[in-house]
Amino acid sequence: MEKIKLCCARCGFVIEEYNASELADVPRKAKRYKYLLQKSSICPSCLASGRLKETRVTEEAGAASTPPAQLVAPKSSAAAPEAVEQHPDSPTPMMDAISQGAWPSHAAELKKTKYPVQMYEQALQARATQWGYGGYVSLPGVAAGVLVRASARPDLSKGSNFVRIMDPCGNFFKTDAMRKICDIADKHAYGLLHLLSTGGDLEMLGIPTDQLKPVVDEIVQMGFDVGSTGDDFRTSEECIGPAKCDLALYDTLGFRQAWYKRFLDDIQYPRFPHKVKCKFSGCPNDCVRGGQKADIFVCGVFRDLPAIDQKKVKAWVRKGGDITTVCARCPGGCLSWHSKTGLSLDGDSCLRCMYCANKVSGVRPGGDRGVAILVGGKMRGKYGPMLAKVVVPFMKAEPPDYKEVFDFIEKLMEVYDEHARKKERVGDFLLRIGINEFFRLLGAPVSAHLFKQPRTNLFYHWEPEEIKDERGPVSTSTVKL
Amino acid sequence: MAVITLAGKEFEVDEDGFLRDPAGWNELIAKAMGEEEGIKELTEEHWKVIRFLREYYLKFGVAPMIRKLTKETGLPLKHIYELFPTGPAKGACKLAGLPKPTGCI
Amino acid sequence: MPGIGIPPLEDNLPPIVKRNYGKWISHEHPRPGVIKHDSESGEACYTVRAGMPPNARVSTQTLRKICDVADEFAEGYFRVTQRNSCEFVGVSAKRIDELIARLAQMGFPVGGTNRSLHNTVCCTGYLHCHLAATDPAAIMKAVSEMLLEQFQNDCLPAKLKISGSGCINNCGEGSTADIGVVGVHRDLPPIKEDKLKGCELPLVISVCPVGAIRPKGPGMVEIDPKRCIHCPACSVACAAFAPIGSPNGDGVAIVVGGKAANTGDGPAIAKVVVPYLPNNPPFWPEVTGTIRKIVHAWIACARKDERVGDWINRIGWEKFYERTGLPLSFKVMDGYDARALEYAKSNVQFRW
Repeated sequence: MEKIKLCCARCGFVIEEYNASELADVPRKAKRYKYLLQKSSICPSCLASGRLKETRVTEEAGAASTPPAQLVAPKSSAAAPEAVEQHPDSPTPMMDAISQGAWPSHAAELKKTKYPVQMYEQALQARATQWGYGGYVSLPGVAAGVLVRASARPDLSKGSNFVRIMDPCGNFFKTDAMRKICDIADKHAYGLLHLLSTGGDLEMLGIPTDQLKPVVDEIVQMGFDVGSTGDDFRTSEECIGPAKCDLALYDTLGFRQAWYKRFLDDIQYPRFPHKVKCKFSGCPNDCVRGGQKADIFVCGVFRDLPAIDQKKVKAWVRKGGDITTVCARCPGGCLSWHSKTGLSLDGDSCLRCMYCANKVSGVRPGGDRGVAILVGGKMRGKYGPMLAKVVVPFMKAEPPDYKEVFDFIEKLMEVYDEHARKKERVGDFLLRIGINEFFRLLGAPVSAHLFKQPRTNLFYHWEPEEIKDERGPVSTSTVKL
Repeated sequence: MAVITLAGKEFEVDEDGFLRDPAGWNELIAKAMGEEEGIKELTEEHWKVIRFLREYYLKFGVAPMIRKLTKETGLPLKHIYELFPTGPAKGACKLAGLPKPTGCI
Repeated sequence: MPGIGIPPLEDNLPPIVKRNYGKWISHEHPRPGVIKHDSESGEACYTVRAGMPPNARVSTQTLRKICDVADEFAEGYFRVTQRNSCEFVGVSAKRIDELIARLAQMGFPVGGTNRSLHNTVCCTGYLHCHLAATDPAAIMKAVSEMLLEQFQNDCLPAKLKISGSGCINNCGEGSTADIGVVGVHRDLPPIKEDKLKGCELPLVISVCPVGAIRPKGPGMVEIDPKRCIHCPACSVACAAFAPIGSPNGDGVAIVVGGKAANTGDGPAIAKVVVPYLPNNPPFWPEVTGTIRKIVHAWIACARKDERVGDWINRIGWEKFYERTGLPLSFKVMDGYDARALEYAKSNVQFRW
């Protein structure tokens, strides 16, 4: 069978490939082929631009198509899975290929530990994971924090357990503490750490079942704790907040610390319908991505307008600050700049989005600060990714107890716990019962700040009790005219 | 996969000690599993939990949610952890012959 | 439970942070990978940010070396950012060059701040997960390799975040990123009848998003092959429906336009633009090739501070597909979603 390939003239990367019969019989493909032959393309592999080169090859029917030319990456040159630059007899050719290059390689890190590298190597070669289903571990006295990965290849490795250590606030580590964690990992586990999972934990892998208790004991001895598995409050993540950021609108670290004190039982003893992920961002920049993935998202906000120090702004512009772009990209279109009068802001259109505070030296967020509470974000749940929805547009976050916010969240969790089904995330629960019913159960007040837009369809269910005639009962007996 | 023998009858358990066939449960099995879990004696409170789990599972085909369990038995969650050190899902459900609880996702 | 929770706040905060907690008043980006904060007190804090291996996967050997560096340059503290890069906080201004050189020697590039490629985020994939349809760690390594210059320089229209997930459970947050890679399965799950007894069947039936699993007699279910969307929900609920996937069925989808910030057009979940690319270890050239096309089209015509999602909103999907040269397919419109028809356009605001 004749194959026609259109390749990059410089590196040979195949951009399009056709059978001779396709070009003869399928007009759409023939058209595209002619078009590609004439135009100048940019090669996705080496970025060379120019006309494509055509090569014709006769291949046996069913032969594998040409393996794609490799990425033009520094130092790496493996063209096919078995070929390796330096060690033709290496037992881990795939991992060797991934270990090369300028970017630090996780494969190289795996090799420095007791991790069973063949599990990863053979997964890459077979294009299928070698880890398996099933497996179960339980540690008396530890209701959350230990988890197991079973192995589908008992000849390579039996399953391994791992613990999730809850990170300190701000993810700051004293080197002494980190070294102690390394010691525990070296002594009892693979010596491999997952520094920060997307759930916010430090995971220590490869602990044999009989070593789990000593590991947890040693972790507790150094002042840390395990948790974040099962249907509980998962480890909450917060942005760096006032520890280092000038834009923080509330003390995210202090908030998280207080959260752990108030809700520790719900963090360590799973009891909810499904896991609840809570994220705390200090401002609408949402560096923790809570709006996209948190069941409960507490976001710092301000109600008044950004504060502008005209002297600082003018100095910034004089030094080359790009005020034109800032004014053009303000989402509310409320900024305008004049070299004499400075930066002016139309309060009616301001969205309090933090863009000007991010970019312009001299613009700070306003002083009327609090938190907004959004609910129902998730990356999957049952019905897929969902952004979190506003439930409270503004609430004061008063240290050190944050009582008003925590009381509200507790009420929210009661509604969720009472009415949601098993394995139903908060967002899916909202989808199922509807916003109306949710707010009725929650008792939170209505405000236009909660609406993206009112509904367009006119179908609505009214309860009989809601129907009453304010004018009083209608009597049919006597009507005086 | 293993087999435990109790009072002359054989019961299959999976590699983690959960009953393969939840229908084949009886109270002796609960006692034997309890000993394995480190529970020396099953008190009346233990049985309250086990019986509630069993009835719910036979009726609905799923293990009950924790809230239901604590409400119906009147026992707070922390107390259930004292009765069953590995917890309601992993400990009590095992003793009641319910299916193994699922993973972390 | 031990009942500790997290260590007290003061235990792990470096002295410069404790001195100026809540007193920071401005920030600057003096050079790529370095952020400067000024405090009310007049003190300045320099932070140096380094890229980390994908999936933040480090050996204790390497971590100890990082601790040594932290002892020497940052008063014995370091931190991990929300995108898994490593930050040294409170580095002396005079020693920044030395630290960057030292990190380079150890194999860690410095960058990922302001308008650059930020450190990639991904989940475990083949490293440790039984549900993986692809290995996002290896893909993110190839992507970071390809875009190394963009990581080390403050040179893009706006910040660029790339994340990878091993399957559509999205633990790797592919759908939050400007450009995301999400592993997909395309096969039906098996039904291992001998394992069904150990399952909570009503739960399995209820977790299927499309209702493809139905009871078929006592203790038995069937899967409607026309409805199944190959997500691993049933496999997670019960081992009878596992393992799901096959080497030729599994692959990745490419999504674009995710964003968390409230600037520009606001937060958004990323959209599927390429429904399937095959797994091709160890470098996944089809995936990196596609990402390169998207990044270069974005660099070529986005305005300053215009994130990928905002850029596409402005130029429209017509121009996006034209300028990136990505193949078109109806498979990016429908999906099993209650809001499916909303993906079809209802106005005639076309761009030609």
